[in-house]
Amino acid sequence: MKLKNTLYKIIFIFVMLVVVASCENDDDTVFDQTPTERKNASRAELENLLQASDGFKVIYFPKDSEYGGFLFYMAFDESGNVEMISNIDDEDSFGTSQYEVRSVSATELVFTTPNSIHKLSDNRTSGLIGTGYEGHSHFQFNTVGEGDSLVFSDLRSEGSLVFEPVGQDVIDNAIDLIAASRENRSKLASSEKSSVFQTLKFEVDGDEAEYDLNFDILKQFAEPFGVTEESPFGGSYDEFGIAFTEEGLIVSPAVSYGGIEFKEFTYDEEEDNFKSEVNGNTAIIGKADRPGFITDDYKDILDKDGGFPIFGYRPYSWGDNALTSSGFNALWNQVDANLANLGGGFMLEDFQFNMSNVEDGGCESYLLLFFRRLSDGGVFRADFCFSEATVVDKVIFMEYEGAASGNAAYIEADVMPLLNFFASEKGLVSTLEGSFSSNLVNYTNESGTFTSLDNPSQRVYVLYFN
Amino acid sequence: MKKISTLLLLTLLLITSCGEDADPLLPSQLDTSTPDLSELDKYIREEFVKPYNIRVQYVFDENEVAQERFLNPPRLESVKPALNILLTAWIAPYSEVAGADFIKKIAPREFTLIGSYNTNPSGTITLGLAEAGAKITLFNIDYLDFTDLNSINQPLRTVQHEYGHILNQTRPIDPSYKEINPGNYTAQWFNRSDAEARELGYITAYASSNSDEDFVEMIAEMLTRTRDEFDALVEGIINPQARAIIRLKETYIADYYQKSFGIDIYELQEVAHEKSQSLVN
Repeated sequence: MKLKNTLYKIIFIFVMLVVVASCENDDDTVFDQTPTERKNASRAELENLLQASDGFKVIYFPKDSEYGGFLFYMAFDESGNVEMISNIDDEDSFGTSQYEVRSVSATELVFTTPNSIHKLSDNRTSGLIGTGYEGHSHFQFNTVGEGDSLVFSDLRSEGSLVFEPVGQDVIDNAIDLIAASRENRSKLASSEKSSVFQTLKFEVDGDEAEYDLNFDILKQFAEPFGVTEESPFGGSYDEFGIAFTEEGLIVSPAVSYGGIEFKEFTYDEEEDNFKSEVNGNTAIIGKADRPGFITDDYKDILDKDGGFPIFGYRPYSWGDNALTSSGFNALWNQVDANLANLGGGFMLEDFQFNMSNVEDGGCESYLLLFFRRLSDGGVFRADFCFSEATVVDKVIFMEYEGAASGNAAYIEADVMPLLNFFASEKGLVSTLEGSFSSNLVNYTNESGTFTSLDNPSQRVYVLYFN
Repeated sequence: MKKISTLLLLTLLLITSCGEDADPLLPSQLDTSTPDLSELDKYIREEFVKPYNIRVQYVFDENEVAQERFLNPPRLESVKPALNILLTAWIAPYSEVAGADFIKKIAPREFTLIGSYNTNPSGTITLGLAEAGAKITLFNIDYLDFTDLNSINQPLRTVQHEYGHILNQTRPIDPSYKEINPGNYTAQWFNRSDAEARELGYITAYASSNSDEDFVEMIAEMLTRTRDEFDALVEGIINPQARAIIRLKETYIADYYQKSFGIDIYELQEVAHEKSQSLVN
């Protein structure tokens, strides 16, 4: 009986403990506000941050594994309007559109009506059909970062954007700043009179390395040569995108050499290049008179047995490719102008070049050029002899040996710029570029380029007859 | 007895110990008030939401469109003119010929408007999309040219096409339609031109993808042309067998509209053309 009473007491005490414990009033909550209050507060916080600043400088890399980035200046008002200007095109005034701050699963900034940022997702961009630069208009707000900057994520590409607050004086001057960034872009792009070659050089702890930048100006994207283990320089890093700013350029991801990372490059007017310095080490991006790295493509091109020693250029039927430089187009136009003034009036039609040393027509190599009479459309052929192609340091050399037909002799003086191109005294740099593509056609034939080292603004994109 | 008393005491404790007063129910923290409506919002509410229970989504939301596509919002000034095309040349003709309630009873529940083209990586352009008969997305409304009937007809054609699907889901077409000329249906329809498809007995290349698309492409082509224009299109087909096949399909469409909905499609065709012509500046 005593044991039974003891058991009841134990049960009683246990039950009381459970009762007391289960009814403990948990007032300690993780958050002071309800989820709805927190969402509203987060939305209000971002709205206030956007509207509090006179404006922002924004560098947006939509997808730095395929494209470069673009510079924006933006100013937000309390009525849901945003003014922005960017260097994506030549628009030289602010555009006004609408924005919203939304709170769904996260706090987002959404550009709801068209403005320059939407040009990055223009799926009709020439050369980027279907995707544009894969830009977006929904950005998730992450945090307030260094210097009161606002850090956002691009939800679909997993990129990030930083909105750097700027004063009214900067916004007032933004049109000029954007113009300066465009000017910096033009300093790296090839032009009618400037080289098609760009290089990336490092000077780190006394060690030097140079790479061909292999820069695509449309995508603003660099895929440097020499990043493989076979590189004579031994360095390696990934491809990267470039955004041009008023000061110079920014690369993303950062480039590194010898453990040193370089991200922001400033334009050096004296040297005409973009320079980044970190602890006395430098990285330089700029134009060059010759490639920083020449591939072994010339071996396949000159291989007479299964290679590509015969190539052609037919702009009217095969279309244009951006690899044919404005410098070469200027050469072509010059020859056209010369021929137009020749008795009868002519124009260049197309050409093919044979480096297979077949002794055709008595030439070791020859240029077969077609030209058209303007009055009746009649097409004529002219043959020009060149010496056998030789190679020194991966560069192809040929000498012009004279006209091989009466037609050739008749137009020789007028087409001399083209003959000089192939007879470049400093040689020709040749590349293979995969299957042929242009604005008109796509062929499975191998394609490639030839660039004159006498005048590195002249590069022509050709189709190899294989 | 003592045990019972103890249990009663425990029960009372259990009941009373947790009886602390809860906070009174507070007002909802969700903002359910009507947002400020712009003139455009009011127009949409009066012309689409109230009479037809059709929502119009024009404020951009990337989540409303395919994730793999890169699209842009419409300019605000493009929205009302595009919607006016739907009111004038799609809703009004059906209301006039089939009765004021026809669109109210059978209609998509939402239109999403996109300003940019929807260009595929292959270079082809998607003009519109329909999802389960509930939502129709119209693209490139920023590029409509109101001096050109063909441009005005472009979104109309998309809507007539997608509305054909909705009608078919409401009252199915005679199954024998599928057996008229199934031999050349192909998933690679885009490798054909419209002219090539017509010589095979399909009104457009897309119509040669499958019988459902064949059916609604016929509707779209008939309702965005006059009867004379449609006849000229068919009579321009060289292959007499293909011509006969398309005429047979035309008969199916006319019978379907008449028997399923009591609509004379040729009357609808005439009214639709008059209305769309009235939109040309």
